[in-house]
Amino acid sequence: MNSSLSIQPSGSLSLWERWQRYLRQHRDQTLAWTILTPILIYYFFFSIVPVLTNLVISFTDWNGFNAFHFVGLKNYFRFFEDKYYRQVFSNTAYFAVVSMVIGLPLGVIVALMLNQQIRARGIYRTLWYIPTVTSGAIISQMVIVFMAPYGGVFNLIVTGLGFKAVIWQTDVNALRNIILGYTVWKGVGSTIVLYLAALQGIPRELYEAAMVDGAGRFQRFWYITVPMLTNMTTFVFVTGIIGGFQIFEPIQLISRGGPFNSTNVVLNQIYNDAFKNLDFGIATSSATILALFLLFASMISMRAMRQGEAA
Amino acid sequence: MNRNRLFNLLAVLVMASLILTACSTPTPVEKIVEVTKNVEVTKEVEVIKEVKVTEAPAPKGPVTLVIWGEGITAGQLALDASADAKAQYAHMLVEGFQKENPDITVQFENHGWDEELRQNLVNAMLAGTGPDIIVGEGFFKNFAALGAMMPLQDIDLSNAIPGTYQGAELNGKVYGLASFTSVFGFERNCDVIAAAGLDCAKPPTTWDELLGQAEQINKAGAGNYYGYSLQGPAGFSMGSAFRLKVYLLQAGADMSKPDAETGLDYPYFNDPKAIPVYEFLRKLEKQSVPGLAFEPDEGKVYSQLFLGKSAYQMAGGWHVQWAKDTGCTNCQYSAIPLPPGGQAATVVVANVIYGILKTSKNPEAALKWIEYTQRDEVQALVFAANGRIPTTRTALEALRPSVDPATQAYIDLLLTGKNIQAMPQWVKNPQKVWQVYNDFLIKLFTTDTPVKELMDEAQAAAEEAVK
Amino acid sequence: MNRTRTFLYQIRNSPLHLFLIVTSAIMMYPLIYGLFASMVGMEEFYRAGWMPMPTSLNFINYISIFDPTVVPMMVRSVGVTLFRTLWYAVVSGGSALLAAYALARLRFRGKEFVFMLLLSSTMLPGIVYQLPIYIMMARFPLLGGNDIMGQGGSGMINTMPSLLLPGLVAPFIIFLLRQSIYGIPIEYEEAARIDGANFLQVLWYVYVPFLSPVFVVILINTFVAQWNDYLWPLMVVGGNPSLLPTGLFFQRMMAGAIPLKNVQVAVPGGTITNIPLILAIATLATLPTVLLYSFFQRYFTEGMQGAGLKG
Repeated sequence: MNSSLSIQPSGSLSLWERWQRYLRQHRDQTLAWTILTPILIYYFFFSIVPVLTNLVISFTDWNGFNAFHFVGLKNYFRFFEDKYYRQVFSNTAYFAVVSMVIGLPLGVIVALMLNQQIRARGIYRTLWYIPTVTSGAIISQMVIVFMAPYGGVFNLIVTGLGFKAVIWQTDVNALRNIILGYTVWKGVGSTIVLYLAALQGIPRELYEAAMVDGAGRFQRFWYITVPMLTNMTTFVFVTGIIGGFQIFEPIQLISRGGPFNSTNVVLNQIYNDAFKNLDFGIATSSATILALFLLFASMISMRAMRQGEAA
Repeated sequence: MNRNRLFNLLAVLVMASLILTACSTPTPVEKIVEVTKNVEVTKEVEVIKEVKVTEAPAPKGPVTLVIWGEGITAGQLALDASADAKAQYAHMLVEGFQKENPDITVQFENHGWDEELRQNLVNAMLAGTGPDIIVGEGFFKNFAALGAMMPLQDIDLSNAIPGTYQGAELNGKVYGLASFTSVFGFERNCDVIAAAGLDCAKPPTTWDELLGQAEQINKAGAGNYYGYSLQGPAGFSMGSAFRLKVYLLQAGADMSKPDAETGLDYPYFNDPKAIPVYEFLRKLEKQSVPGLAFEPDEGKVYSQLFLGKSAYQMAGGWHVQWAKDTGCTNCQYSAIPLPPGGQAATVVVANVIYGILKTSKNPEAALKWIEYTQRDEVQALVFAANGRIPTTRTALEALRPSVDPATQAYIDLLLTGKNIQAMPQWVKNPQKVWQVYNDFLIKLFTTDTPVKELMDEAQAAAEEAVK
Repeated sequence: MNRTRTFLYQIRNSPLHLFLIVTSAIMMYPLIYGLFASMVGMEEFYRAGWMPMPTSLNFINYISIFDPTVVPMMVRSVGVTLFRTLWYAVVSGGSALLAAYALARLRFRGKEFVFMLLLSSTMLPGIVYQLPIYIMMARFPLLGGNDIMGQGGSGMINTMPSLLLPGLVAPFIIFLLRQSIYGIPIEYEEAARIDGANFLQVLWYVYVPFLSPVFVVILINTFVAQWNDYLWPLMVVGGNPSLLPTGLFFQRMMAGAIPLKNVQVAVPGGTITNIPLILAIATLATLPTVLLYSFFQRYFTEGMQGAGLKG
């Protein structure tokens, strides 16, 4: 396609030759943009245009079928004014933060254990990771079986331990704990694998040098291991928060947001608003709010990490 | 239309992007794509394309009428016609119609029922992939209000029972007709009642009698069996709200009132006449199988009675066949007990309405199908096939002499058209309104808060939800 | 003496092992419960406590799943999933390799901007894209009965392209590969260049061999993601039973929407849901990803480390 550019020779060098020389001199530039242009064009249509479309719809009252009207920021005000949506948002934050508070330390502890030279650690590692590769929809469908008030295995365990049987569907705390348990169960495996990779990347020489200097076990952990894990912690934290705010399948299939809206989360309500309540305006504006919030949250945590590093 | 212009713009942009990507892909990258993509991949693309082409129904000559049927009829079509009455019904329905209309091929598809069906329908309609005819009971008015349904013009309604198409009637226009329906009756397991030392020949006729008997049975059962099976708010089917609405109607109360502006239903959760109803239900729950109100599997809830765990429950018409099929020899039926000063009432349930989507490509054929389901000879198949009852006056009158007294009572209700209703279809945000009602029921059954207080709270929340 | 030391070492580690065995058992409990429960009959299941114990290898429920009417549908569903896996692994893996190389090794203006632009999309929730892309697919002109303005038909909905077009540029894979490329000494590339290798040859003969563990990770992750994919297929091919990927197919099977005999079983006095059969479907649907991961877990950790996720 470049041949079309070889038109007229001018001066000592033809345009074509000059072009060739330019390409040679700017080899990196040319190659890079040759590679990236199609990728960026695709990215534009499948990532940027949808985000903008989402934004446009969020200013309308579209119901999916009929012509729509622009309603300005009404949907956004509704999200913040309506107690219902505030509760949905705080539930989501609760699930994301608490599952992080449980899952991250648990992941670190298990990763530290599996980083020892112990027997069968490959097997343990596999077992801890397996939940991560299961299907959310199918596990949720199984949890429904477990939760049955009659002969459900959760109640068999609870009564076996000497407690009173729980009616899981109507007990706010019990249901929230099930959702949290599911999230930690499904998420901790990837935390462990990431931390294991980080731990095994710490050069042995550091520990050896510290031992020569007479540092104890705890000192080595505190002064070498912990600082070497900071980057990974930020990574796990940021991706964990982003993932945690997008919890969907267990809510949609297990609790459907109830009872009393106490387990409803943003993504579930977006899905409900779009496909059940046929209110695309509030659905897309909720999506925009969630996106802005996550962008903000991950920037804050990355900045905090950078400052922590500098300090 | 605004929306169309936006879509067109987007679509054109996307197409342009693909063309641009194809053109502007510079030579080195193309080579790499060749290197990384092995030849097999491109071959597979072609294979899949071919499969699609051969499978896509070619729009030539005869018309294909796509019907999204409810599970029973659609599912039975896959079975051999000689298998059982249900399969016979499904085959006769389709084959009879095709014989009369040789140019029309009927294609029944199963896309679930209730919430799942509604979901699949909305998805299909947003995409424009909807069928010609949809089947359902709880969303025709909503869809009609959105302009997605085609009104049935020039159709003869004189023989149809109004209660059965009430769920598809909006502002004077009818958008669908039911092919069969069902009503609620009262079911009891005589083995349990006899074990508790009561006379099974005298079922309770009032709410007080029911409560008294249930209490006695509970005491006698001492944890082995209980007085009643009450389906509560767990599970996400409408099973529990359906039955609670029957009790509400008996007392002259309701959960909704018509919305003047849209013709849809507006929540009315604090009807003062409903207070005694919910107080009764609260007491009844205490006499029910513990925890059952929160069991999500509807089949499990109502099979407790067959298993000898409970004595009484409210049952849909199809329970008669269900009990027979599964060998519950001592299950009997009676009229639903009444409140003091109450009137017999019922709600149409499993009321299978056929309606035509506005996007249908064969509206004439679709209308023919709907008229076909109303014929006497087709309606006559219903009761024997699946225990549901017909929806036309003549078919009901023909059926009446041959059925049990409990069913006769409901046929009479249908024929006189009194106190018979469909479930509400909310003006807005159905998911939120039903969630409010479910939450109200949870509080009703798990706390001691005065009913009035709970009802007012629910009403406030529901009004907020439909704003 | 060596044996004694090993023995002592293991003794010292036994509390660690005990902890790991117990916690791993808890992690595996739901899946083992599903596996065991799928191998007992209905009556046994309702008598069983917190762990149904199959008395023999009873595959009756699995035989029920492989019903002659269901098998062709299942084969198709697996075929669709495998094709998607291959397609996404090759296209998004290939484009990510090119982009990662450009972003890691080439010098050009705007590099950081492009990288941040691509990466920023991983911080936004997927729902921001899904609704608009869905609409774009449905209103695509001149396809699926649509006219030039995109009206009248269903576009790409319920066809294979809607399962293959979105998400071809995968920012996270670009990130992973870029990190890995940083870990490869540049001297290799320079040596190859001196020998006269062009850009493609460098990429193929120098980088690809180094990156193969990362590609294994990408392939496994792609397979797991495609096998479990639920929400997007539900939106775009939910109405076409011949294109259901496995996640949706098996979930529908568990929920009873795929005609399978014996899901509802007549017992003396009623009809009840055959929970052992449902759990057999769940086990069958979970097995492929679990087995694949277990076999390749060694590569998996190596790949992660190779990707320079070292903290």
